[in-house]
Amino acid sequence: MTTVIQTRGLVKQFRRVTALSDCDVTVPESCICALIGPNGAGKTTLLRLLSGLARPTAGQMSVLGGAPRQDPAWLAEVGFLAQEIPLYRRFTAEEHISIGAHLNRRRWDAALVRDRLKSLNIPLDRAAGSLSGGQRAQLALTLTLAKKPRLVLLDEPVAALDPLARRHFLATMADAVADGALTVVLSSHLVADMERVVDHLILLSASHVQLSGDIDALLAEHRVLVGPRRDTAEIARTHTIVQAMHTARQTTLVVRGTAPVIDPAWESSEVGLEEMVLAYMGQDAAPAISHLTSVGEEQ
Amino acid sequence: MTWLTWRQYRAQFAVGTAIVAALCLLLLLTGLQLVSQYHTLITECASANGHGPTRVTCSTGGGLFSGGPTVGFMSLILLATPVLAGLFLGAPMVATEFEASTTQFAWVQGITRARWLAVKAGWLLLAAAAWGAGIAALTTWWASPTNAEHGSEFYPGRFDVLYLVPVAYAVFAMALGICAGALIRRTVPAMAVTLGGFIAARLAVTLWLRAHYLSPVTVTSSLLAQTRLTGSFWLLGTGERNPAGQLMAGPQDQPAAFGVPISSLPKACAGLAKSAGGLTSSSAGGLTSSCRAALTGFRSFVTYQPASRFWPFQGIETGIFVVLAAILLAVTAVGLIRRDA
Repeated sequence: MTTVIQTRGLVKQFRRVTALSDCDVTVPESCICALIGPNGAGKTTLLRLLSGLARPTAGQMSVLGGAPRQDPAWLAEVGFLAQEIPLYRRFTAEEHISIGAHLNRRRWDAALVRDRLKSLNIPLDRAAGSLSGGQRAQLALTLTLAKKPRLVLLDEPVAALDPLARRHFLATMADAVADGALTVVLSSHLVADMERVVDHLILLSASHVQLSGDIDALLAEHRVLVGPRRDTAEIARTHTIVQAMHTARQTTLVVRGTAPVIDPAWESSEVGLEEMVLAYMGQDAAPAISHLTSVGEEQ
Repeated sequence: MTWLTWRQYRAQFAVGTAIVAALCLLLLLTGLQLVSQYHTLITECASANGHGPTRVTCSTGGGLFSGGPTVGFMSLILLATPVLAGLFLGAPMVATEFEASTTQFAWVQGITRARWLAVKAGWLLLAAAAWGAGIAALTTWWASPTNAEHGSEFYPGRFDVLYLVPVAYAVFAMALGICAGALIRRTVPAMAVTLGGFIAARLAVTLWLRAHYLSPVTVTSSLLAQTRLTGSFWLLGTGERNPAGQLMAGPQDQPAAFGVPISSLPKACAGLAKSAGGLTSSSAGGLTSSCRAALTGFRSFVTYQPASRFWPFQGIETGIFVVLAAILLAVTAVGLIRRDA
């Protein structure tokens, strides 16, 4: 399997703030990769580095076979949609299609934009500034896809969409990836929306990569253990404890490791994607937050 | 990219051209008036003197336009026009794209930032040069009667609105605006910097640099036969030196002759004080021979840039501002390509 994105020790520093530190990720071709993390985790920074809009302070990255660079051939292969949903407010959708055609002479699928906007009932002749937030997001997403890139980087693409539009959009993405050699990396602070379509996961928290890999493989490596309240030192010898929550009578652990759990006091079960993600995010969060997640996880 | 630039700026290009056209109309109307006044003046001078009109013979009738409110007002407008395009088109060029985050749209399409900048900046610079050239051409025509009358075209305030230099100022202002907008990334501060930078550069060049493009010519002569310059020269200074070579103080309120107080002249010349007003070399015939002899060591000098240097100076100043513009554009390119979007 060829890799589309590979980073080694990527660091991005803004004056005194480290937005991304020691970031090693690998994304294979033809997959949908979810970049998950709480607000301020460094998701936007990572995407901007990968798109070539920003430069890393240190470290290497290879995107589609080389470092992001000012080269029309490389730029043509990468689509990026910023969180701000940048559009020219005074220009209509039709004018945006023309802009795209003039700025992407190698490949540009104007028909794709027109068809998709028509099916979404988004007018082609109204200024982008007068469209609703959801319509603007759809227009910008469609323009990103019209470029026919091999890699699409989307920063919080579903944030402005209603639940139905989210599902529809993610299905479109899944189809596009299934069709050809397209790879999608999309960021979100929620995992629930994407659970059905994503097959790769990068979990960022506090500017560090906490977890990265194929989702099925990751889920197979993690388990939830529930048992009477007790010390966890014994289980820590064979497994990595991602998260431990204690109530008065009971201890719930999310652990990583494939070794069998011998102690019959532990009741072992499979972990859900959201549960696993929240467990990793909870590591850096305040205790109150992990308590909140623990309530949510009680079954 | 050219298409996008035209699509983005077609309204501004239309408005800019309309403003230039309005200004040109104003120049045309007042200019026609100036030309007719000048012809009347020349005719009157010629008939009064009985021979060909010169600026000298007509200088008494020449107050016609100097200080005229129209000329003064127009000159002010013409000094200000080159900065306008830089202010309202140059400074916002990159800054508004940053503010609306459309740089994050434009810079992830299939063209490089260098090309994006080159095409946009190229068209705006061309527009600035075209507008500047239109105004400069008409201004040169408009100012020709007053220049012919006063021989003033080499003087600051006049030199700056004629022929080539206004075009260079307009190009410089546009480059300054683009650079400020690209580095500051916010429109209003970029406009302020553009205005301040333009005024500072223009003042610095006009007040301190221009007089030294070529070393000024100094002509020294006897007090009794002072040099009279003709043509559109640029007078930088005049003065008198005593035999010891020291610069003599001006007359201030004391009785004076030859531009210096009589008290600082030799005793033999004390009689000059009785003459009303200051004596000039042309009326020096009434001097006593002893005073004449006593004055031999005194010299008067004139420092100036001769009229023949008008075009070299236009060329040098145009070059300076074009080079500054090129430097600013290079800084812009490096800033946009190397800094994060």
